[in-house]
Amino acid sequence: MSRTASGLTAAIRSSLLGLVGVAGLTAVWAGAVAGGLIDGVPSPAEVFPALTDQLQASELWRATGHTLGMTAAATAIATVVAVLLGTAVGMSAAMDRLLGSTINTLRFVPPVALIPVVLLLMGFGPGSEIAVGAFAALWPVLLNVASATSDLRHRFEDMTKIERLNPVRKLVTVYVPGALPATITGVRLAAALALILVVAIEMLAVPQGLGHQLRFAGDALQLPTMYAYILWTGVVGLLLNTVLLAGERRLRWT
Amino acid sequence: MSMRTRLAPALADTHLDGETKVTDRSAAPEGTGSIKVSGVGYGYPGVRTGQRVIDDLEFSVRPGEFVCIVGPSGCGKTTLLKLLSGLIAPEAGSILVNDEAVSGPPENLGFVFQDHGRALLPWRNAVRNVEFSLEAARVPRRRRKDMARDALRRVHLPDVENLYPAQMSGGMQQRLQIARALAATPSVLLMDEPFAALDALTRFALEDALLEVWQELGLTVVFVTHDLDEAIYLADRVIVLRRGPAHVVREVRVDLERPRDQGRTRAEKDFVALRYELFETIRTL
Ligand SMILES: Nc1ncnc2c1ncn2[C@@H]1O[C@H](COP(=O)(O)OP(=O)(O)OP(=O)(O)O)[C@@H](O)[C@H]1O
Ligand SMILES: [Mg+2]
Repeated sequence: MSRTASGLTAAIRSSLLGLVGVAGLTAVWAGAVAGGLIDGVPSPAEVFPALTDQLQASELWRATGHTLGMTAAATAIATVVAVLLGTAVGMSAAMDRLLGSTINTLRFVPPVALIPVVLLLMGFGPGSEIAVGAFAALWPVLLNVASATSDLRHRFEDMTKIERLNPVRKLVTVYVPGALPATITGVRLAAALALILVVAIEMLAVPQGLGHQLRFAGDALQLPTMYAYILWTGVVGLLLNTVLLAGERRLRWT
Repeated sequence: MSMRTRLAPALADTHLDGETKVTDRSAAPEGTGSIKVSGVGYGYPGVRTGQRVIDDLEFSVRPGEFVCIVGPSGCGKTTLLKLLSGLIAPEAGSILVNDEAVSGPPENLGFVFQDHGRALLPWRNAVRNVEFSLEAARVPRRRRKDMARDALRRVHLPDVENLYPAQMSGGMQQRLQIARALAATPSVLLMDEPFAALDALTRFALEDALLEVWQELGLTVVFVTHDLDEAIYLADRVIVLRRGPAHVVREVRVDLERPRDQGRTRAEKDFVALRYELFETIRTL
């Protein structure tokens, strides 16, 4: 049997296992609701039809598009800033001393704590979503790029001197290709964080996207619909991660 | 004008002609490949300030000579190679390579690190790793591939062009590192215990490959090792350093016939006598 075929079987087997897990959890959920163990939660028998209904409605797809668009914009902006800053910090000990403590302070600020400030500054619209998402998405990329670059600097310090590489050449031939895998991993983690924050700010303040739909259904006491949106948001996150993971695997050299 | 770029075409041409004999060094300026160390002292900054790792070090190497440096662990052999290559600057004394004072790594100098992980780029395959040093030396693109293949062939690594370092054995990676150091045709090659991590048979094969390349290209080699047999087998001259601070305690000429042979040379009376002599010297340090 060819390697790709056996790889495919393995992939199918692992997705099947995943489905078994989902089915098991759904069974527990159904049992708990039916046995009266949890209150105020609709049963799967109510939520799944609500989800199928919503999947046929245009609001869900429009909201999904909006949330993913905000997530993508936030991740893209964060990536550009983080790659520039991370490379600078990783390449130069002076930059590390200059920016290191600022970075290490700011990264412990919970992004949700910024929501009120950002809303005041940028209003109740997409700008705020992107800003908060980007703040959350910044750190995984920045830390990954900075530590990969700094490892490369130490590891290849003597070699790059012997080869008499100027800083530009060093950047292009050593740091960029060497830090690429860590950067991509950082982007994948960043996109997940950005999605979470975008949904959160939509729930709290920006009347668009999946977060808003979720909140709206809850406020209208349409609980099956609300849970349908919760489930759907999870599925969107899963798909996003899968796509980025596949991209990451293609680009890795290790 | 640089030696590297001047010698490069000669190497590429001999390859294209299918001819592998001695590269013409007559065009090289006087003093090319020479090393002169006088009164050199060095101490690492911040470590037991004032205490030098190397002090009053004095020796020289003739163009085309193969010199081995031996000495106890921690005596300053790696530090010495870093000084010779301009990676660090001496506190006292002077170092001339190719008759020029060293201030930063000279253009026509190759360095083989003990740890190939600090030299090879894991995201480049073998031939692209060799080309890396040709790119750095500004060799035109159209000539790089041929020169890289030529260097790989010299270290007997012909069929690995597309393998990545992670797919190669330790011995192959060390050969690859040597190929890369040779590709840009340096006049001086510094090697820091390059075979220390290899098994005996791989080591013998690499020693012979190195001697072959050295004779073909007329390089000057300074080779650090802690293995006396290896030093005697390879060298024209063995320099013994002692510790605290490092200085030369002994220089021994090795007049064993070349080309050398792993079996025959190591069994020669003179070889055994030299090893006894060096061993007695080192033991008293
Ligand atoms: N970066 C450094 N900073 C401070 N001290 C150092 C540094 N590198 C080496 N030393 C010290 O300098 C001395 C010589 O080290 P060096 O690495 O040159 O020894 P060596 O002869 O190459 O040893 P080995 O045979 O074990 O490789 C040692 O005492 C070591 O502790
Ligand atoms: Mg050493």
